[in-house]
Amino acid sequence: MKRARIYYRGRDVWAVLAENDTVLVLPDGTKIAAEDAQWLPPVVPGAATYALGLNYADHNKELGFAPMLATPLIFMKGGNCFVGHDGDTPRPADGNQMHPECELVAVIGKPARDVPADKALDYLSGYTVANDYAIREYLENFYRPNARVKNRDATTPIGPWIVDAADVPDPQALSLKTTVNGEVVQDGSTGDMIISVADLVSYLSGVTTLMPGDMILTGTPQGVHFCNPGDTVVSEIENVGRLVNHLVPA
Amino acid sequence: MTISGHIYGVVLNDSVELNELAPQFGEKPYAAPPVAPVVYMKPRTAIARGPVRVAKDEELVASPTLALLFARDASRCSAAEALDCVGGMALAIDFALPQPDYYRPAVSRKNRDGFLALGDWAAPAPVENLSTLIDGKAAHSWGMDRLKRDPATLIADLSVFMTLRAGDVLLIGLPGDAPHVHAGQSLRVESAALPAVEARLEEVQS
Repeated sequence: MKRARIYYRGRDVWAVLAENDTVLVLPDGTKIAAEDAQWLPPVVPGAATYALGLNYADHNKELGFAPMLATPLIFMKGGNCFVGHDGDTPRPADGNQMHPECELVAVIGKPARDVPADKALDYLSGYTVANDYAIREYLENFYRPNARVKNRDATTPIGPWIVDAADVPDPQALSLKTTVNGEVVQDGSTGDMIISVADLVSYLSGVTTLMPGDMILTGTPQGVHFCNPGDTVVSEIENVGRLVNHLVPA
Repeated sequence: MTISGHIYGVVLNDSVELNELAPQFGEKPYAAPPVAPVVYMKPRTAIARGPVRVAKDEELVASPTLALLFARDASRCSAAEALDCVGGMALAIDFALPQPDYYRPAVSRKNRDGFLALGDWAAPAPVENLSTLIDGKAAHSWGMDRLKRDPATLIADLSVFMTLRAGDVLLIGLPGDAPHVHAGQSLRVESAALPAVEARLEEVQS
């Protein structure tokens, strides 16, 4: 099953995808065409969001970092970052090195505390797609990647929906792809993650209690491509979803 | 309304600490002094509900600070407008495991369950000084005149790129000389303007 959060006639509601993802069914049975939907981030307000830096060996090589860091590079993001499917993201006039980062997102389904890796996937309710844009001009070496890069308003498209974990039996065998105006700029596999989804859930659950609705953005493969205002950026993960974003001048 | 959003905090907002670290900022790994506020976050699971649990030989940094609760969204606001968005204030103690530097985010050191003690919310009021007592004895004191960015300036500088939303909390800075504490100790942070906040550290089997 796929669940999406949409804006519909004055309120936000969670709807279920039907008929090959062409129809959204609201809780009261109302059906609307998916192409008419106003997509919101499929995020529970206030959910804790963790994101990985440098979690694909090929991306680390591309950026000049070691294949594996001594401790996982994990930072948090606020809900202000998110924007739904088919939404707009501001591309600052001085952000010439703004690049998309296609990431598999794991969504927690029940409280997870000190969970062993071999049980970790049982704690997930689903997966979605995020595009965790970075703007390299704004990087500083304090809590890097710093908030001015990674916690900007509306710079993390996410969605369109959450697909049930049961429908993604192996999260380490999914292709990820980013296109910019139709040109492929990232083309990788979740099989190349350094720390797997299960290991990430296990690791973070040893730091804090992960709660239902919390999310982990699991990092991005190689392919640094700088974007311009007006670009249409599509982030797609096999069996999870296809997320569209529009860069607008800011 | 209470905390319904996110808990943000900043480090490197203590001018005394910044002066001490200044010679390091030109070196690796920093290469340059910080320009934008240096932000961290804590999950709501970090809010203490009872004793703060620590292992036998573990040492925590206990940072007395001020928590601002936003009642309105602060987005691209000036310093003059910033405090209009703040609906409440509370004293807080931010706990963390000691960190060697500020290079990488400190999630594994700051996010543990119970690592944020919050006092009762009260109406915003001018705060001049935070005093910390450990086991009843004066242990630390810092004046808000040490802040490099006062709360209004801090909100304004953050709101350039990120909206602090109604229901979010902002911890306005941590003193570089915050006391280190261990299991068995009790802390109390006081200020003339706000209700005190207390925390007790209890040993757990690691």
